[in-house]
Amino acid sequence: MSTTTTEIARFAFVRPDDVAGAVAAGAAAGQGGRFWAGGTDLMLEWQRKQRSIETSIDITRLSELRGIDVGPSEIRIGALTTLAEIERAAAVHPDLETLAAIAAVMCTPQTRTLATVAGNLCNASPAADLAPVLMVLGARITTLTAEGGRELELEDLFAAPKQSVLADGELLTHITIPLGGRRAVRYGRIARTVVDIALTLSACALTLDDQGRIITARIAFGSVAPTPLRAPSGEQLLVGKTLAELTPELLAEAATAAAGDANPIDDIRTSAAYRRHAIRVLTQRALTEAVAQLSVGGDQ
Amino acid sequence: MITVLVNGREQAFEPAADASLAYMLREEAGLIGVRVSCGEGECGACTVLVDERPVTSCLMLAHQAAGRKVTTIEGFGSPENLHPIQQAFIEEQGFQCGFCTPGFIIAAAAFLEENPSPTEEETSIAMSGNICRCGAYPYIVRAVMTAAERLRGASV
Ligand SMILES: Cc1cc2nc3c(=O)[nH]c(=O)nc-3n(C[C@H](O)[C@H](O)[C@H](O)COP(=O)(O)OP(=O)(O)OC[C@H]3O[C@@H](n4cnc5c(N)ncnc54)[C@H](O)[C@@H]3O)c2cc1C
Ligand code: FES
Ligand code: FES
Repeated sequence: MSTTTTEIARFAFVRPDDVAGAVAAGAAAGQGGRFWAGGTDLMLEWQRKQRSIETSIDITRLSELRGIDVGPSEIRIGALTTLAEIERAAAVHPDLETLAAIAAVMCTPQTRTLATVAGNLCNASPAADLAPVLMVLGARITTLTAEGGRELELEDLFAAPKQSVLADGELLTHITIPLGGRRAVRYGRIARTVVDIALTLSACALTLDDQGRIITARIAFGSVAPTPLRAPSGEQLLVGKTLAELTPELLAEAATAAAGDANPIDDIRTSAAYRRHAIRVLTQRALTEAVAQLSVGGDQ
Repeated sequence: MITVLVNGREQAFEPAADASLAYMLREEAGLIGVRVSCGEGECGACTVLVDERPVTSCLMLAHQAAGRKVTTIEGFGSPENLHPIQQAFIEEQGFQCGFCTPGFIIAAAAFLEENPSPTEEETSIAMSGNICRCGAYPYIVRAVMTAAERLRGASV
């Protein structure tokens, strides 16, 4: 491990070679420590003096935390997998197609080479684009500290705008997506241009059991609440239904109920009223597309 | 101290812990073809290749480049022997003031490496991480399309 502190530097820089070294460095650094991944959020916060950092711990050399593995019952995404890698992951597993499509419209090509999936989640922005789709995929995250590890639902990661529940020195190591059933994952995103932060994003996932009934329905939103948000009110109307029972009227009702869970604000990008309207429309479209996808694949 | 393979030459640097790669390349290596405009990842003027992949060097810590291979516009062609993408930008007038050009050329190089036969639409999407304040976009897209054709010819 190399350590650098120069006179003019305002933080110390450490570069551990492995995960054990990283959590040890995290424990040693305590409150002033920051894991530094792609830095695409951190560099701006540092330069704008929005965050004080005493030690930055470069985790980009932890190659064991990089890449996507598909197992029989789950997909495992390493924390340091970059958006550029996720963008190219549609071929890895069909359930990742939507995640890949969203990654492809985030940031810019040359920032996607740097930006990581864990950075997007741990930064805990209400607009973190990967969060809603990973939430509807039922993602869980695994973290590690010098004391040991824990696993939690992704939706429990977000505490407040730009604040996760992770403790100082707690490293997100990977994200796990459970497999099983026939799943359709769809999303709608509205942004000023493809590379701009989203005004709103809605993602949904519907899973069918062997009897052709919806066994899980998940809806989640970006940029309509203080954190990425699961919208359970719409989901409850869909579980247990057959595809034939998922009429346009029912999907509209579910989208309206889901939108009721949103709690948007006015900001520089758009108004709360627009967000509330858009999230309902995007959800209805995403649900309609998901049902259409499951109907087409019906006789497989 | 760190060593970085810059444009094919092993070089030693002593950047501040919080210095960006762009700052180190400009101020310590004198590679002023690395342009810094927004300094926030939006404009792509500072695009360089790190291990052959394009990155906004204003967002990367200089120390993160330790032991890696960095290519700036200075590592592309020489005035006597221009890289085919540089040649195509001149012929198609893919610039006006030229400030954004190094970033565009490097983004184009990385893109054409992955997609040697792009459509115009794919090209504009791939160039979406670069901003041209002079608005030379149609000429830039044409330059990249011309370069793609040349590079395909060269590799046959
Ligand atoms: C020009 C530009 C455009 C952008 N566009 C978008 C967009 O369209 N959509 C979007 O969602 N975001 C966007 N972003 C934000 C940003 O690029 C993403 O959030 C990115 O995924 C962050 O990843 P990173 O690796 O760069 O994070 P970093 O900046 O390295 O880290 C972010 C935070 O996460 C913490 N962290 C990182 N990794 C770990 C880990 N393994 N364990 C614990 N904590 C960790 C860090 O300590 C820090 O607090 C944009 C940024 C820029 C500069
Ligand atoms: S200067 Fe780096 S992206 Fe604008
Ligand atoms: S040519 Fe002037 S900014 Fe692009």
